[in-house]
Amino acid sequence: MAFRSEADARAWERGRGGDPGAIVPVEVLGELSRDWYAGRLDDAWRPYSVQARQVLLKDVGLSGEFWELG
Amino acid sequence: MAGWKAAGCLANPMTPAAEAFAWRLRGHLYRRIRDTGTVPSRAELAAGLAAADTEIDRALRFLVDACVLALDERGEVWMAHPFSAVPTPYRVETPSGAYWANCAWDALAIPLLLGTDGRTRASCPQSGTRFDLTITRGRAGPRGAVVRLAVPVRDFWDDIGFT
Repeated sequence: MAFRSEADARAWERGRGGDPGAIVPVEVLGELSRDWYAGRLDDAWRPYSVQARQVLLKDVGLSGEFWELG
Repeated sequence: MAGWKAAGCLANPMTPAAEAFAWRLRGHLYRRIRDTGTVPSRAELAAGLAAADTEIDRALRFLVDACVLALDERGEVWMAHPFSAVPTPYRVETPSGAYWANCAWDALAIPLLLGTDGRTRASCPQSGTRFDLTITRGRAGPRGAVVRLAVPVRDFWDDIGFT
């Protein structure tokens, strides 16, 4: 879900209880998406390995348990 | 043949020719979506690739097991990330066409995948503020907006319709 601000997202989470999700600035997701989805229009595309995806996440500052793939 | 393993997903081994066809089908599928804005049916895939239904079935099964695609209950392609075959709250408008995205993240990803600008109308679930998720010359906006992901990334494929 997209929120207009981090404060809105935090308030929404508080209002619902349950497990907190990950709240990510759109700029960071854009930066991640550029590499995460690169090349998918080509026949030669193959899925990244778990390790390669982890590096992509780390490169944009997404680390911690929520972002661990393995 | 070792099959295909990535991101915790394992596709059963196939002959090299069958596996090559599956990857070719995947590329064809994505380019059809790019060009038409819609996800082709199995019949359209078979016609476009001059392939038998059994070849299409086998290739789609392989790609599902590799966590590359998700099918609906009829066996038609439902999700080819970041594209959705069915309407969602995320309609991505680009200069070359409009597309359904699976989620807010995918709404940002589609213009980047296509190498174009894009805009997706959104409404903040907390404040009700209407705003546009945008990609402009490769950069995501608007400044200050965020996306909330509910499910840790390792669990995405446990229920790919809910992330």
